Amino acid sequence: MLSPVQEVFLRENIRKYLDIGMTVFSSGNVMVLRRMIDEILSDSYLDNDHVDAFAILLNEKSKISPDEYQKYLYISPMYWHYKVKDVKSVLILEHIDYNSVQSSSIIINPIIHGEHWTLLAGYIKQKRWEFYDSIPNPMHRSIAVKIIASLNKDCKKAFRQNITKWSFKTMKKAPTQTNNTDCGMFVYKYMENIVRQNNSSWMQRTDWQEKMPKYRAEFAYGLFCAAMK
Amino acid sequence: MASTSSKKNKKSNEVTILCLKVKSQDGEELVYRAKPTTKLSKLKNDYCNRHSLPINSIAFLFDGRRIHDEDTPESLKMEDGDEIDAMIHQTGG
Repeated sequence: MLSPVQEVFLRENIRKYLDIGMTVFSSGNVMVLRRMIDEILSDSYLDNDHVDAFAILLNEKSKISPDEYQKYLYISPMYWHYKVKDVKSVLILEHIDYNSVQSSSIIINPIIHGEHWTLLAGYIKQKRWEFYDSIPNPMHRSIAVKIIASLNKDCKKAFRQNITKWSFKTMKKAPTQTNNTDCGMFVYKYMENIVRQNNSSWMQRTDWQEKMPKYRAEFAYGLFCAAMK
Repeated sequence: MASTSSKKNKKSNEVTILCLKVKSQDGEELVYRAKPTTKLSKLKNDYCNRHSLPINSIAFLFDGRRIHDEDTPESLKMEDGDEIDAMIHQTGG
């Protein structure tokens, strides 16, 4: 659990934002409102802003202690969504070029499809895709294959190789959820663990589901800390 | 008489009204007329009401960038006829 001091901090901050429409945290295209903090702290679904905000927090952490994290490229879940709806998706990919690909070892792309969150991770040196699904179902992976194909098209110059030819593996042993609402949280725990250095034992963990309220509180706490800066 | 008409002219010169097209994800378009100084959150709230959506369940995007509540057509350098994309938040569990 959060320490008592952290809990007080969390409560005090929530109290500050009286109206559920007030913006707590905002960065670039990402906006987190008070309402969304309530969603994190209850059992609710998470939306694309939650996941992007988490990626921003993760990015900050990896900047503070670069030794503990592998170099990774993050692709927003909205990439696919914008693409399908014919909205400008270029913005979401503009950080992906030849140099950034060469200096990274992992690509992470959360996917939202049919109200379910999954995670696609690409290992650049190993030429391998891994697919994480907290409700294992072969139906969910078809979308990942489509995303790889369009990434291949959109980022040809960045990769200089055919990324659809990489091996593709569904990670069957990753921790899974037992309820109907936590897949967004699982995706972010996957992200956090994948990019950490020397961290392979997390796949055997079975306590994620019971610790979810704690992880949710930590996430909200992290957002308030980031908002204070 | 002359003075009032020149006043009117002055007024119409000062206030330009922009037509802004809001395009939904399924291609449906709604045209708003707005002053350059109108907060775009006003349009967003109206759009949500019209579509019976909870306020803040959609994001307005201009050129792929998120429109913040305090933004105005002026601050985003919007021109007459510009298009705004309305994206519904994607949630999942």
